Amino acid sequence: MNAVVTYFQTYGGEYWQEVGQHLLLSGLALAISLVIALPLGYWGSKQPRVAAVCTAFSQLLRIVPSLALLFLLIPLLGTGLVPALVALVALALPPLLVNTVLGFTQVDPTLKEVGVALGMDARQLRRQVELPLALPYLLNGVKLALVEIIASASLAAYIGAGGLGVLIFTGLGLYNLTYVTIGGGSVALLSLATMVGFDLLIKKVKANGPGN
Amino acid sequence: MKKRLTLMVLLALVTCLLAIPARAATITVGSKAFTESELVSELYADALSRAGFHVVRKQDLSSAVIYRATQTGQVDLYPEYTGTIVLAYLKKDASGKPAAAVARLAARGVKKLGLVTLTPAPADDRQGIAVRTVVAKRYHLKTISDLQRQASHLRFVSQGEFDKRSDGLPGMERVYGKFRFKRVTDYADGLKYRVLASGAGDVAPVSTTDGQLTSKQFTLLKDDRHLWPAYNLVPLANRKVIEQHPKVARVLNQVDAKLTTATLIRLNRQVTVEGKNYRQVARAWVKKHLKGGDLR
Repeated sequence: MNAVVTYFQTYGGEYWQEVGQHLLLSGLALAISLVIALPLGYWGSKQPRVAAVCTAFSQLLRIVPSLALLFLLIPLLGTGLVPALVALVALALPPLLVNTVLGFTQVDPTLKEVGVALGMDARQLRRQVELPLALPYLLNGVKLALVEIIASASLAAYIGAGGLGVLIFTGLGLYNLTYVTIGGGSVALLSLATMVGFDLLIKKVKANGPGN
Repeated sequence: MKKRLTLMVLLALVTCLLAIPARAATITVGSKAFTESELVSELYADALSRAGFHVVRKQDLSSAVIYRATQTGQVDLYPEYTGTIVLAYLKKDASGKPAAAVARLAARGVKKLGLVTLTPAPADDRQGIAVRTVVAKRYHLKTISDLQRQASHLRFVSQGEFDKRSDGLPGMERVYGKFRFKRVTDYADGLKYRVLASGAGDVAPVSTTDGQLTSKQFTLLKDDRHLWPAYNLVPLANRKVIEQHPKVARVLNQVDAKLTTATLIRLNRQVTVEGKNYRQVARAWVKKHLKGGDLR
């Protein structure tokens, strides 16, 4: 415990910088994945063939180990932030895509018909019927993706993208368990906070949601 | 009649089995997670198995883990460096000391931990600092003192371990003064030359026997204030193993006696620059340089 306190006294600035890098990396990866997965997933919910391709693609992405992907990307994209982001996006896409497709397909067709009967155009239908009903599923996808991203972002330290992984790998190299504990603990805490936060949000959205 | 025959055959078999001498002693050879350590551990492993030992390899361990694993006996021996033992593990100051003194400090220091160092090789793989030659020319960098003055223009390609090890950056700052690099980024150790070559960084901590340093693309800076002592290659072993099998020490000392700095650079180069497999490189070397007599 003393060692932890000493660490924060000596390297406090460095620690927060690493947390910042970790969060930035995770946030950017999530944003990029959302831009790809939401439209694709929505399209997939309309076209079963697209959905099938999405699912197959997701399964394929899941097979590739993230560390291997990071190193495979080096010849193509070099080192640093860009290859790290690509690897993390590849990790985040499967849960996002699958849940987006699921979210939009489970919307009751009757409700859509009611919308049409009320004179809604396609855009209104999407905004006022489909999206709110699919939202809990979408959020669940975001939650799963983000937990995955935060945990795996530690690996990005290998290719110079920084983050809390630096602390973990330094600790492993030096057999300094304080570093490993602080680094690993912080990553676990971030993941846990994401999980709990999103669970609360999903509960709230479901409670306020239309149809209840 | 048939029964008796079976019995006789069985008896013969058992006698045969008993006649086979006890299984060859097992030696676990470890290495750290970088090319030279893998290579030299493979030289040791190959020489030992040629000398009749059953060799188990535990390669690519982190540098702190392997030191402890050798004390507990999970690893019997691995290639280490006299300077690393003294500075990083025993945390003693060895700046400016001659190679023999560093080796003595190392040998004495590990004794209490149940470890023993064998005879150090002539090969000396020091810690060093390399810069891209283009950058070295632009900022007139020849020594680490020059680097310290120009640090604010340069990006440091580091590893977390070097940033914190007492013979790493903290040691440099103690001897040369604060290095205010434009940026310090940590990478996996194996990537540093690639990062330098791609222009994403300018300066990196290196080993002076790295094969890549034979290229004109990189310039090794002079340690003008003698921060780093000699880092002679030396087998570090669990003492019990050497006591039980004195032959292990004999074989490894034969290997070590032939390992010069030039040899190490050439072997490293074959792996890191020419892309050969370190096991094959090691095997070829042992085959060529160790005669039957060395392994007895």
